[in-house]
Amino acid sequence: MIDKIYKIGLPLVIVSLAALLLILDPVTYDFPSCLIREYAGIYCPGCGSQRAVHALLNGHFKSAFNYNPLIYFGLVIILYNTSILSINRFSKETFKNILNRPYTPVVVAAMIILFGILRNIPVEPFSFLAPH
Amino acid sequence: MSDVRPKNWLVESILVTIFCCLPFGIAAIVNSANVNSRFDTGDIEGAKNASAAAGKWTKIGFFVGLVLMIVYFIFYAIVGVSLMNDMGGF
Repeated sequence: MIDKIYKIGLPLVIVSLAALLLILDPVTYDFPSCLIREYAGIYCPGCGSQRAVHALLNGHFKSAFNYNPLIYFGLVIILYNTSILSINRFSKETFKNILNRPYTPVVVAAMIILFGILRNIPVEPFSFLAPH
Repeated sequence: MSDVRPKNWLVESILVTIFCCLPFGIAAIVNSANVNSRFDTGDIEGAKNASAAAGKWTKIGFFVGLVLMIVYFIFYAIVGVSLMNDMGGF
């Protein structure tokens, strides 16, 4: 039962959020601002991702990258995981999924945190990483 | 080693970290690291526990983000409507 709700509800929620972000521009429209940005005043690694999704959905790929390059990382991970799972399911191959290796999550977490630190340094070239 | 590798939630937890809530996302990623290393050393039970924990943090992150967004929109709708009323309506 719970599984069924998830299977139908989750895509529904994600599609409606995407539709919302396609239409409304977080820059001009008062979208919920991240609590970390609001109260700690720093850019966390996810800062700018709403604006980036809005830009991406409207075809502004460069501007999406400027808001938050990590959304491309997210896209690549989704693509990689989906393709390797489907290849292994529908063919006789059993490719090893790099996401199952012990150090992958550690490297990914370190990368995300490092990105979060660097983008708060208000000096070139790091300031390029801040949402702009 | 015929056991099925438990879901490590890595993709989902990365997405939660990027799109929603850093602390919950990182907690989930740490647990997904545990899923991988424990399963590889043959600790199936431990891997299952880590998988459950990773899933828990991913879901908490997702729902916290969702609820915050909904609450914010309701709040904004109410404030917006009352502002319009103050200004004499349409």
